[in-house]
Amino acid sequence: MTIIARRKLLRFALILTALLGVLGWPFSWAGRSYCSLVCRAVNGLVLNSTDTQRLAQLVPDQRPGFEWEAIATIRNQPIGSAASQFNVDIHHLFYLPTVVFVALTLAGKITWGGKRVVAKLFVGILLFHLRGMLPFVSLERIATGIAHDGFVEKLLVLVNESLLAPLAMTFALPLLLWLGLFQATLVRPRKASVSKPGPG
Amino acid sequence: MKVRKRSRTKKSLVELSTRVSRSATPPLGLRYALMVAAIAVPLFAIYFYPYARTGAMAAGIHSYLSLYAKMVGAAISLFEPRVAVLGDTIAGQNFSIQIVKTCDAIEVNILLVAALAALPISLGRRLAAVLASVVLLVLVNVMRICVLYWLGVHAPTWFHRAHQTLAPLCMVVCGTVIFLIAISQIAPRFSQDEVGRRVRS
Repeated sequence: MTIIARRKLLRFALILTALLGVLGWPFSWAGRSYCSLVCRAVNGLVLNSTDTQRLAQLVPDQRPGFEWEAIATIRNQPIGSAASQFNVDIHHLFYLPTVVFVALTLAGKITWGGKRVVAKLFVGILLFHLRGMLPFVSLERIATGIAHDGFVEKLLVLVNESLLAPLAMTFALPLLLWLGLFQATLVRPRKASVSKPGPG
Repeated sequence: MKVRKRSRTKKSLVELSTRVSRSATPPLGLRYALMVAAIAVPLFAIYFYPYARTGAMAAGIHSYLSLYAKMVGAAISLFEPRVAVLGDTIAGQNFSIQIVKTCDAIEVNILLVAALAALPISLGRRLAAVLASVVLLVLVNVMRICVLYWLGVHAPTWFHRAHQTLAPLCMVVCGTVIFLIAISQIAPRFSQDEVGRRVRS
């Protein structure tokens, strides 16, 4: 942990607040296109949407005022053909943690040096989008009826309940990742040689 | 000979104090991060494990949430006298809220406890820091729920945004600030501990 000057810290806080305010605001025009991109990625990478049976699927909510939400549909085949639907908050699950990390990285640039910022942004954006896809892994398992009470299922539920569902984790995880990267890439000052005590 | 020995001891003490004062705050590296994870992961697992709905653990969590609701209800009754607590639900005339898992900001509490408990300081100081921080964070969280209740009654259009975004952000910021305050209070003591430990060894 390094002691940072108060002025730098204040500047960091101001830039962070401004970035969070601008980037984190749920603009409806951005929500629609972002949601459709996320849905496409989740359907392609996690949910088996190429299957004609369409066991589980994520589609953007088309209703006005719900631009940042998507509808997940599960057809639980082993039990019957009944389908269940629920809304997924894309803003909280994918967008906000990414934005918090991006804001922290850009605001922290003043103390980091700018060379590796792009790489860190890429790592953060990728990780938080993969994190957002985690609940859909268990969704797929539930939909296909695999291991309802098994260890893997319980582990997935545990991960989902502890890392994804709590609202504070939307902000805590980016902060932790940023702090980790901050500590890992901090340019430490060279150890100054200890001057020999003079006579007397 | 005696004079020479004394100057050597003096020199080593000067070296130690110089080194320690350079690292005024505890060194928080990979080892520290692993310690934090080792403390936080079991705590998260205990709280968030999908327990059976009928069982001792589920009953325990329900009574804990009811107790939390009573505490929040007592705080709300300071500005809203006509409020009743029924189990884990705080019911007012126009608005009611239910205290469920994570309403107690347990995730921030666990992370803060782990971050403080993993600090390389003496056990007594660690316990004091953890206790003081948790008490402070619980107070902040009770205030957060009171504000949310007030918004629910007086500005319901703001409730959703405050509950979903502003309140969790506020809790994380508070947790971070409490950690930074704790570490700044502990840092000089850490230096003394470290000097003492090195001199003894």
